[in-house]
This record gives sequence, C-alpha cells and structure tokens, in this order.
Amino acid sequence: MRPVRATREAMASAAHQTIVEVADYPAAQDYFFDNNLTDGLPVVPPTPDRVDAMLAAGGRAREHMLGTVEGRPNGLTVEQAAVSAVMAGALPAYFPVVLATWDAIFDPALNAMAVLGSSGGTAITAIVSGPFAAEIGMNSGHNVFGPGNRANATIGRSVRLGLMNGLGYRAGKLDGASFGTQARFGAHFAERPPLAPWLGLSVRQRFPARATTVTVAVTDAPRQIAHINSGDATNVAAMFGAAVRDATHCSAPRGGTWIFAVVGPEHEMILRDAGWSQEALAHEIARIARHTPDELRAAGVAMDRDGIPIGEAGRVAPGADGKFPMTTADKVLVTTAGGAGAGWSHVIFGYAPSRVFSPVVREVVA
Amino acid sequence: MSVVLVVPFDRAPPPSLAPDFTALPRGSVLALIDNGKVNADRLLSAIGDALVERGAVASYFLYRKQRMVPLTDAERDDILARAQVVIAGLGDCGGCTACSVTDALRCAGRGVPSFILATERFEGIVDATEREYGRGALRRLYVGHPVWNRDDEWFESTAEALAARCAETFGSEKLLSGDHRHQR
Repeated sequence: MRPVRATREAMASAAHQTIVEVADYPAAQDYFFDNNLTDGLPVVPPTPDRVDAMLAAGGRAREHMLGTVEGRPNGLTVEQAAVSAVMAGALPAYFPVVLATWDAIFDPALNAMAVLGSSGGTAITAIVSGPFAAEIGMNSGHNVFGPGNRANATIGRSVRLGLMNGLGYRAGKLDGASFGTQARFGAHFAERPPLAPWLGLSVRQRFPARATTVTVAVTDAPRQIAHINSGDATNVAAMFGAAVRDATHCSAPRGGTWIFAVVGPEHEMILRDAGWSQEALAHEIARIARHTPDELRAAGVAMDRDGIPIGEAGRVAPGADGKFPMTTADKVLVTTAGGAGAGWSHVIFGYAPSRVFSPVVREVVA
Repeated sequence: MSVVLVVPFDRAPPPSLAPDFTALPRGSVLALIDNGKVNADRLLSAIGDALVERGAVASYFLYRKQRMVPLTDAERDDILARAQVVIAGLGDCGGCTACSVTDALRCAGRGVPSFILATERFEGIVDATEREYGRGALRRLYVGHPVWNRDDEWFESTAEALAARCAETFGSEKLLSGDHRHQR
C-alpha cells in the first residue's frame, strides 16, 4: 500500500518526522505492515491528535532525546516514544510509565548495548510499584502475566515497538535473539500491594509511600511454580530456592544472576504469618540456590580440572562451601502479584549473569 | 476520508566519522581484543602468531576485556597507546558481536585500522551496528559458526588464511575498501 502523500520534515538532529496520508484506516494498517513497523499485530494509527495527546501527558518536549545506546548518533526521541505508545494502544495516562521505563533502559547500568540485541532474546520486564499503577488501571491480580488488561499489555508493547522502530532492534538488524520469548511483546506488570508488615518494592527502594517506581530488568519469560499442600513457610521458601537452583540456566556456571521472586497471595500469607520478611525470603533463596561442581557436571556443564566451569577461570569461583551461587540475596527482588488460587508464584530469571547488567529503578513522574 | 499518520522512524543516516587510513608502518604492534568467548583467545592468538611469522606486524598482545560490555574509553586509550592495528572478537552472539563491533569502531574512530572478527551468522548485526554509528571504517574477518567446537587443524588453517588476508590488507590499498572476507 503506497501512501497517498508523504512529506518529511526535520524534527531533531537524529530523527525525521514523516507525515503520511493514507486513504482510510485499513490502508493505515497496510502501511505499517508493508513498512515492517509493527510487532506482527495491528497497531493504532498514530494520528497527529493522538500523538499530541500522548506528548501532553508526558510533559517533555517532542524533540527531546531520551537517550542513545552507547553513544550512537541516533537515539530515541520523546516523539518516537509517543508514537510507539499510540501504536501500541496505550492511553496518554500510561505515558509517564513508558517514559520512566525508557529512562531506565538508557541508564548505563542496564548495558543496553549488550543486552537489547542479545541472542539470549531478552524481555524488558518491569514492575510498577506504587499507587500510580492502580490509578491507571494496571493489573496486579488474576492473570497478571496474561492478556486482558490494557495498561499492562500496551505499556510493555510501547517499549517493544520503540525498540524495533526507533532503535532498530529487529531480527536481521540489531536483534540477534535466537528464540526470543512471548514476553518480548510486553512484560510490564503492577505489584500487588503487600499486607503489613511486608512493604512494597518502591518503599523498600527508599522512595516515599506516595511515589511510584518502575523497576526495569532484562529477563527470561516468567516461570510458574507451585506449592499447594503444606501451608509451611519453610516449604514455600524452599520451593522458590529450588526453582532458582537451575543448573541449566546460562548464568549457573557464570556467577549467578538477578531474580524476580513474584510471590502469589497464598504464599505471601503463609510466609508473612510465619514471620518471614521479604529480606529473609531473599536470603533463603540465595542460600538454597547453589550448586556443587558435581551438580553442575551432572547438568552438562563442562568443568576444567580445577572444578571451574570451562571459560570461567578467573571470573567465577565457588564460595566457602564449595558451591557456585545462582544468585545472592541482594540480587533477589521480592515482589507480590497474582490472584488467589491453589498456591502459585513465579520466578523470573535475569537473562544473563548479573555482571552483564543491573536492573534500574526510576520514579514515575505523572 | 483519508487518515494522516505521524511516522518519525525514518532516521537520517549518521555521517561517517572514519578518518582515512594509511598503510600500516613497519614494526607495528597488533592488539587482539579478546571478549572472553570460548576459544576467542585461541583464534585471536593464532592469528597474531601467524601475522608475526609473516612479518606483517612486529608483535601482538592479547587484551582480555570484560564480557558483554564495550571497552571503556580508558581501556581503548590504553590499547591504542600500545598498538597500531586492532582485531576485536569474537562475535558469535548478538550482544558480544555488537560490543566487539563497537570496540573496533571506537578504535577506528581514532584512525587505527580495526578489524571485527565474527562468525558468519552475525554478519547482519555487524552491518547493522556499523550503520548505527555511521563510520564505515570497519574491516571484517568472518569465520564459520560456531568456533567453540573446532579442532586444532581448523584453528591452524583458519588463522593462517585470515592472517594472509590481514597481511594483504595491511600493506595495500585494500585497507580503504572495507571488503568482506570469509573463512569457513
């Protein structure tokens, strides 16, 4: 489908705005598909009024550069982020979360250069913690990782479309994902505010209770875990530790990774009622999730004569107990989400060893 | 009724920042930037040995950088204080290729002939990353994918072939051409 009319106008040093006029809405869809500007799904046409409304909700100048990847001349402008958000189906009210996510992505600690195009196929997973999540209707309960909630679905999609269209992270270009994951369509979710004495993630990140934060990490897809029968907090913690103790994960022989421990309602109740703090759970996960050299060997990890994973000499070493950690307590981010059920929780692994990247926290400014 | 769309994704290509190279002077030192991928050091060192044996460079050193991150400016400056030509590798995945291309481009941006060593499966990321920087100065050395499972004979023959191509490039106009080179 050829556009009826297309003009270009310099908007910023690194981006050109193209105004395209097409015959009707079906033609608009054809335009985006034909020009490889979607994630495979239809998009909301970014008309000038919709883009302007999105920009107004963000409170930043249209041409402002949100960031670049390792000093590349081209980065992502606020306008490109806004157009991506419109295309994703986001409401303007969501845009502050989108912008905070971009701010996190461009923080050097996330190491965008290495992680965004990795063959590991990273998802941009983001926990939104604080009152603004509920204000914009984000889901933290039933089906929190599934379809059906506009805010969850479209905030993450806004970011993915920006990565693909604004920064060039498409297969065959900068994106080297060998498999990818469905979580790459979008993986933003809200934290279910925990009951006292547990504290929300944003408060534990030392933000005031009225603040909302987005914690952004590059991860694998979420993995569901279950503990149904005992009601024993030690067993619940052991379940998390056993799930994280996965010698087949790429970080197992490489010093370990970041972990999101997403605690479901029943497990939260069991742990909290038994006096477990979120910090205690993080420590227990880290304590359990360790491998002896023989356990790594049994999982197919090639080891050298000194009992170090091949290629890792000088980079990793076992602890005093002779075991290799999957993570450490300070790298386990405990959060709460999900709806009532038989006893479900999730773990989300960082996609690569923790030395490659760090999650980044940004306050949402609405 | 027609629909007007705002589509701001047609970015201007960045200008080339690459200075022209001149022929490599005699007695040059080669820096091999090892990204720690399995057998990267082995292949890089074999290329270095072969180049020294041919007299194409006087010596080489292996610089083992941290995995999956680009060189810092201080690291680059340290390398370029000691070397007149650079090979960065091994690009055999998405992130490591992007980082090694960036390393090579940063060195090339300082006027130092710089090669990326990658596997052929990641040519697309090499090209795309270079386009993002707009420098157009990268020299390419490609080998078959993967490298981690190769035998001694492969390393020897591959290093020899790549060294021959490097040596040819060092002393000729081809340094300016950016032509693609493959070794299966």
